[in-house]
Amino acid sequence: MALGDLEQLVMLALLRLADSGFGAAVQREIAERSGRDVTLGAVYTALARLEEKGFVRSRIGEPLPQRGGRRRRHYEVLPAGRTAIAEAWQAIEALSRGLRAQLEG
Amino acid sequence: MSPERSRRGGHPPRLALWLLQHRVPEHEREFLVGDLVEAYHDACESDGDQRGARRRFWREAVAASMRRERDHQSIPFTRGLMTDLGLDVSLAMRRLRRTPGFTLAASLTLALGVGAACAITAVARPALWGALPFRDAERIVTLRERFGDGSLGNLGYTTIADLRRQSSTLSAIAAVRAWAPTLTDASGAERLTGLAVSSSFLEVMGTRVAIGRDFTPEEDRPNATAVVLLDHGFWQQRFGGDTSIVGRTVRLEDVEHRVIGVLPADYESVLRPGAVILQPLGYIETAGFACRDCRHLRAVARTRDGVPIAVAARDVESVFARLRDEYPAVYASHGLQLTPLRAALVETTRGPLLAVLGAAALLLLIALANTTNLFVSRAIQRGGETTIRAALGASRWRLARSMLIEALLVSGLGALFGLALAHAALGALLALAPASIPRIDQARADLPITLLAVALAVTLGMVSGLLPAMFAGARGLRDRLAINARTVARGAHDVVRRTLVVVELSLALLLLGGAGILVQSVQRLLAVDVGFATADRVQMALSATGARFDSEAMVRQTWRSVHEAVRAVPGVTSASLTTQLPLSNDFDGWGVRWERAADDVEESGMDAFRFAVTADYATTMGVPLLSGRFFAPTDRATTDPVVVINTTMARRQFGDRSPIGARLKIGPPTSPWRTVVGVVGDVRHPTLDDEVGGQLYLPMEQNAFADAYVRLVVHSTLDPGVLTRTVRDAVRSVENSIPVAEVSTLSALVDRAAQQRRFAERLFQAFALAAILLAAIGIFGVISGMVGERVREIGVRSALGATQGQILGHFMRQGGRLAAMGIAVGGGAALLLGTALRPLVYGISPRDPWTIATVSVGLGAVALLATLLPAWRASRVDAVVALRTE
Repeated sequence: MALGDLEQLVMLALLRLADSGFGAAVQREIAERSGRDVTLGAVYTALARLEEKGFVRSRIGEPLPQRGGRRRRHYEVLPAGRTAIAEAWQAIEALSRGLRAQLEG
Repeated sequence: MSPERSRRGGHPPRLALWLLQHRVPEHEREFLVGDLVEAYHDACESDGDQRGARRRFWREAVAASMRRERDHQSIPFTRGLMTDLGLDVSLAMRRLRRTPGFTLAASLTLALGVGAACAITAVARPALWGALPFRDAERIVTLRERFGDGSLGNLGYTTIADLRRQSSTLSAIAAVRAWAPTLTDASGAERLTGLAVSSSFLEVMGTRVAIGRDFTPEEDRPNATAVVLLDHGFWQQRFGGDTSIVGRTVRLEDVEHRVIGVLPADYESVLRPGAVILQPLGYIETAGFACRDCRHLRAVARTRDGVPIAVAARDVESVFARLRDEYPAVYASHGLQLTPLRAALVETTRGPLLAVLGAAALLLLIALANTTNLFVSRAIQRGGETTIRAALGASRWRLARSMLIEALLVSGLGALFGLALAHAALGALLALAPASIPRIDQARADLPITLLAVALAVTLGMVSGLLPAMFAGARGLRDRLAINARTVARGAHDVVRRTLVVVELSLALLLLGGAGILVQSVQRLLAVDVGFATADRVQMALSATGARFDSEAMVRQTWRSVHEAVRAVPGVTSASLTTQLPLSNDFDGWGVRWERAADDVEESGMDAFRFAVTADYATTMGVPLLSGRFFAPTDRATTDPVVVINTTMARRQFGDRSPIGARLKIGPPTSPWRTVVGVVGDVRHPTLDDEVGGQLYLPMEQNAFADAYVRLVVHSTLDPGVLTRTVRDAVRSVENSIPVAEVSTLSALVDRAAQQRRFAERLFQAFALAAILLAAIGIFGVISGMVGERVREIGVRSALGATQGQILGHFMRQGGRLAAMGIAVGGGAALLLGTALRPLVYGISPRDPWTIATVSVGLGAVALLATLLPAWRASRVDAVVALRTE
């Protein structure tokens, strides 16, 4: 199953964040690394789809005071997700081979 | 992170949170919102940029709320009723945009009505309903003496003192007198408007000083240290809001007065508009001018907590009854009138304000009728669409709603335009408004006026949207489906349209009738013989106050020199001084006692206005001498006291006999007898429409005291501007410190006296003009609509041999019938409601049949003219063209 553009970014961010991935952290990671300003709502939409596709799984944490007593939903990448992202990468690499000069020029 | 730390950045925007709670799907609400809250606190913590964090929070909240197309799990933006409503609104907006002519016409018509209503309400509100800026203002009352003829007047100081001692229902009572000190400082001399008040004045008014302290009872005595309180605005403007002014002194009347305090910013001098300075009255009962019949003080009082006004009124009335029994000579058959402050303020202006408000309401109703008519036509045009929608199962409510939403949008737009109109008109209104409207300076188009516009928009929208819908649904669905092109559409909506036009015409007639009567009333008022010449005459107020004028001799000498100097100005025909000028704000009435030679008793006659004048007054003012003589320079303080009276007084006292040689006294019993040497014509004073009372003239030189405040009247053919400058210079050459104030021509003085009525007249004229225009548009619209819908019928008729004249006549009759009905109803209403104009009317009956008849004919002519165009168009319909559409 293919990955959307934003879904790829979210997966990569989750991988970078290792165990501490949740909505706002993913959003911040994407913003800091790629400079892309995505809304939290969009991040959640992507996470929901990824979960549906079986690429990530989530668990619900404890209520936290700094969130006004609300709980966090932590996400972690499943092996299927790793495979999917790897495939997407390979596809990009295979297709972009030899185009570097052209793309950077 | 502890909860305490997290709270440092404040709470995230509550409204945004609310939005999120309602808009984010429940399954992810907690986590998404929690993330946002956490990020918000983090941002506040780390960057300290709370505003940035809030902005970001809002952006995320809005984005999360709008997220629906991509995520099927989220709640749709509008659900149930909301979905339809949103759809209806956007549909209505699209429809209105498609018919910009209709939208603009309907909303501008409403704007006219809403604008007029809002502007007039803004002017009238502070006087009629706006809260007075005093604590428990409803407990403040005014006290006035009620004379035998029912008129009300001021009180003598001793009467006030007795009331203070004997009344059990008043917690405080204060005497008030106008005061106009001249302030001198480095920047020159300025005459201020002020009040001299009892030390209890602020207690009565329920006000506390903002800075400094109130007057003490010790300061409210003769020869106490001179102290003053300043008005907040005056303190800001004249002393730059400098708090150190308190404790310093200002020079008033050449005497140093210590400023002891500043009044609060919200204090309003309602008793004397524009009074910027207060000083203690400083009376004691033993003073000569503090007697019972020296009625020159106004009295205000505060009722005790919990005492109803009626009880207080009975109480002071009974105290006064005791005084009357004790001093029958002074009080005769007088009474004491207690009036709540608010009622006293609007006594003379309430009627006119309500009449003008009523006129604005009529205009609003006409605008509403017109707009409703437009919507009815629109509903008819959309008949086909409505029928199909109904056939497909749309509920009646659903069908009505689309029209209602359109109407609400149009009226909302109308209210918006109307509010803009009111803002623009308010400036012009305030320029035109007479100063006699109480608290006119507080008039502004503020929040309550905006709320009024909103309320009007909703009401107007409901009426103009629901009325056509109601009647559109009146006919059964089957009937409507059965209507085909050949049927003449003469349903309920036609009745509605005709009724609306009749209503509109009758309301327009009411306004026209009112305007007609007011125009005549103002004309008659201005045509009143004021009793003096106004052409080529200017007047100004002079005052000689301050330490320099301590002695009466000095004042008299100054006036003599000023008189001489002005008379010597080249181009001046004559010049005169007088203590009181007709139709100015001067008001100086005195009791008169006549000598009855036969039995050596004094008989008290009618009160009279006292004019202490120079010998050339009658010539300068052009007041006609009817018998005897006026004064000569030889009437001096040392010669026999003489007096000249007016016709009314002579006739009242002597009938047809000559009053020459009779003797009278004015003021206290100790004053000398004066011999009547002449009779002059009546002048209008103090207002144009007051019945003329007693007026008496005495030589200024023979007056018992030297008036520090006089008016100078100059007769000259010079240009008033040039004349004023030269005269001012002449006055200054005599004494530099005399302020010259209130300069005007005598004709301007007369004009100003008619200002209140003129204000109402102009407004009625403007409203009537708008009304006639709207009524004409209304009748034009209905007849055009009828012609448009019946083109086929007309075609058939002309095919069957009807001439153009017959068709024209048919539609003219239709229009004529509507006009006749409207005029009949309006005429009847004008006769019934005319009394509402009574306070504004002078010299004409408020339901003058001639005026109503005249405007009826005029309105009828306009209505027929408005019918003529569509009727003519109907007569030109070509039968072949009309029937070809079959």
